[in-house]
Amino acid sequence: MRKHRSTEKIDIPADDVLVCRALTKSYFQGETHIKAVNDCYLTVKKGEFAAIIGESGSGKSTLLHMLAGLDEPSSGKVYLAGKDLFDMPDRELSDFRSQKIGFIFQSFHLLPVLTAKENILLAQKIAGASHYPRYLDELAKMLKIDDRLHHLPSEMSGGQQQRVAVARALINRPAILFADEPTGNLDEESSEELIRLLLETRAELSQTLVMVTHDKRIAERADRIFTMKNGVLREM
Amino acid sequence: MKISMWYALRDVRSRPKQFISLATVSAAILTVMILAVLWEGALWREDVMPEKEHNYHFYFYNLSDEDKAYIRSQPWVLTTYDAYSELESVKGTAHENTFRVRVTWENNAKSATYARELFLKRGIIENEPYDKQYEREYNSNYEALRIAWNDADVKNGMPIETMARNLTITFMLDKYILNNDYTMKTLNGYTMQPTFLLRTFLLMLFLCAAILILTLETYRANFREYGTLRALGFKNGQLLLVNLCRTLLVSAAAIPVSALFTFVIVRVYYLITAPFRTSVGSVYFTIDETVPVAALFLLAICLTAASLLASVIVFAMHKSKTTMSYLRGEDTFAVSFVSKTSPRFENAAGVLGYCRLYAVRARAMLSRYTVITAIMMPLPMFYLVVGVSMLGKDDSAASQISAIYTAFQSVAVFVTTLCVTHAASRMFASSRSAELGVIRAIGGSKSTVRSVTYPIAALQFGAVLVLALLINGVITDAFATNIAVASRENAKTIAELLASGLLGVISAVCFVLPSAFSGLISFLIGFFRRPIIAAIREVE
Repeated sequence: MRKHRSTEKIDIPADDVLVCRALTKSYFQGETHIKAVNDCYLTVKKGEFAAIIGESGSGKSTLLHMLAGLDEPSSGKVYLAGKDLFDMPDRELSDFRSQKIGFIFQSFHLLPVLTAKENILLAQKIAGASHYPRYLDELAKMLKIDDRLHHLPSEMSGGQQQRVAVARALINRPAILFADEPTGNLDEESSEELIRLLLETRAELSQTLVMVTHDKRIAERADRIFTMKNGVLREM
Repeated sequence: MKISMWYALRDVRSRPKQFISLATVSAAILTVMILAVLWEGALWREDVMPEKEHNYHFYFYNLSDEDKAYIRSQPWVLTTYDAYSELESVKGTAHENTFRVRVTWENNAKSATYARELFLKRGIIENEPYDKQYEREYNSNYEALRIAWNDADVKNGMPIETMARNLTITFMLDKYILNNDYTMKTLNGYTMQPTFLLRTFLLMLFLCAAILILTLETYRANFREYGTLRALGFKNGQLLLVNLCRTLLVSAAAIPVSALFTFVIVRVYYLITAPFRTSVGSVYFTIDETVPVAALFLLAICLTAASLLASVIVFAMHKSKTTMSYLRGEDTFAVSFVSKTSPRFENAAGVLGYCRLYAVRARAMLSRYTVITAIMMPLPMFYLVVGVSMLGKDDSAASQISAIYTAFQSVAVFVTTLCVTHAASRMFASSRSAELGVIRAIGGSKSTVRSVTYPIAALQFGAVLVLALLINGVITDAFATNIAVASRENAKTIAELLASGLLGVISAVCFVLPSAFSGLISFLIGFFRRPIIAAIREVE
């Protein structure tokens, strides 16, 4: 159930695309109270590339899900493009998500009943665009999935599925792109190509990129690096 | 709207197996509904059949012996009686010298024509007597007839003689003779109505439960997809539309399948009941030979409406879920536990021990399955018990045919129940695909997999058995009491009660056992055939 939130407003500079304040996610496992994300503060400016690194189970993905409005925090606020995500009604949040946010999942989450092409175009259809984008062909070529567009996810390898998921996240040219270990299923060469593509898109669209990664070499290319440990976020 | 429909169509195209199984289950539900309607029709018909007192009998009073002999010689006359069994003949009244004629069943319309000819030939109508002291009673009876038949020939204040004459003619010639509402309502209504209502209520409860369960389980099976759609920007309303479109497609496919099912069942029923003919060559307890198309479509609309309503209910139940809880897929077991650092996963024994505790970890799913099956099992059990009790009732063909039909209904309801519970238990088993795949990957044999799955099925069996017996006991007792009170029968003896209880237990075991294991076994057959990695990836 959607929790009641305070209506307290804070002034956010126009340049701060992503702001989170005192963000906490906690739950009970048996009788133990676990704080997956503990009182996190974060500000990312327009066009910045922020990398979040940390050990498995440290709360990185949970934080990313809340920042993208996919999960609700136990307390705290998330402002995306100046809007309080969790004060928006569902309809508005859905529209906002389809038009402004791109999300690359660690486990792809492709729709099994749609082909690669349909998976990518679905994001565009939801956002309200009905024309066939030339951008799809470009993306498919860049991501080397142009010969797999008519295949179902079950007919593709993990790496190919990951690249379809990336294309789906980029097709609407979102203002903010969240990526949860996007190179986790790719070989070194493909990883490098993907990161290059993400950085080029970011530069072209002045896109903000927030990425969770294990790869320190990728993190080093970010404008800002955050580490997560036991649910606590710190900037390096 | 457009995008939701598009997605629903793609879903059907890409998962033909799932679509076919859903359509088949829906068709089974629809078939049970159609059979139930035919069954109720047959019951009504049985209730006005010629063996029953007061039905299809003509009454004559103060006939001469010559008239009586003439009537007895008529080919449409089955039997005649010289006195009315319950009312003594009273000299000088309408009940003096009562002569009752039972007509043949095969062709009532023809009998009515013969009757008219008889009346005209013998001049019976003109000579019909009546007594003033019965005027009040006649008035009320004829008023009831007038209302029932909406007969313009009978009016309040009309002289009783004219009224009697008009009614006699009408009764003989009117189409209502074929299925006399008056007879049904006033003479047999007190026994029919309570049982009819109770049975219909139970059946509807069963069907609603089946539809709701089916919708709920399908919805749960697609949680992750819905999560992805939500993450991409789908609104709640669009998700609902996807579900409604899918439901419409399933219902549309179920209609022709159920028509086929019913056709086959009716044919088989006729083959089986062919030897059970009455001495006059008629079958009076029988379902319609041709399935009424109007009834089929009306019920199909009911099924579709119920399914759509169930979709809305299920959707409303999950409306407040966050996108992430959809994406995580409620009640599913994530394989990620293997990567956890807990010492319990350091060796195979630890993993196995953890898996054996699945029933404890999946309490919600287990209890849901138990409730699903326990709700659905008592109805086929009930039908079976009723059918068997009919067999021993008497030797008449009507009882035999009635028992066979009840057995048919029992099988139809059971097959539907099995379809639904099979789907539920298979989903329950499938949710462990990744977990069982890991057991195989770390060296577990087929018997290891069975050792961590069969005990849970046995647990399900035990839990459902107890619940189903309790529910069935309550229903049967209520039903039996209802009939006993209505028909003023004597209470059952202890031996009869024990026999009935034993039959209940046997039927419960027979019905619950396959449902507890069918989903698991069919899942395991597929599971053992697939590569281990496919199981871990949960790719079917």
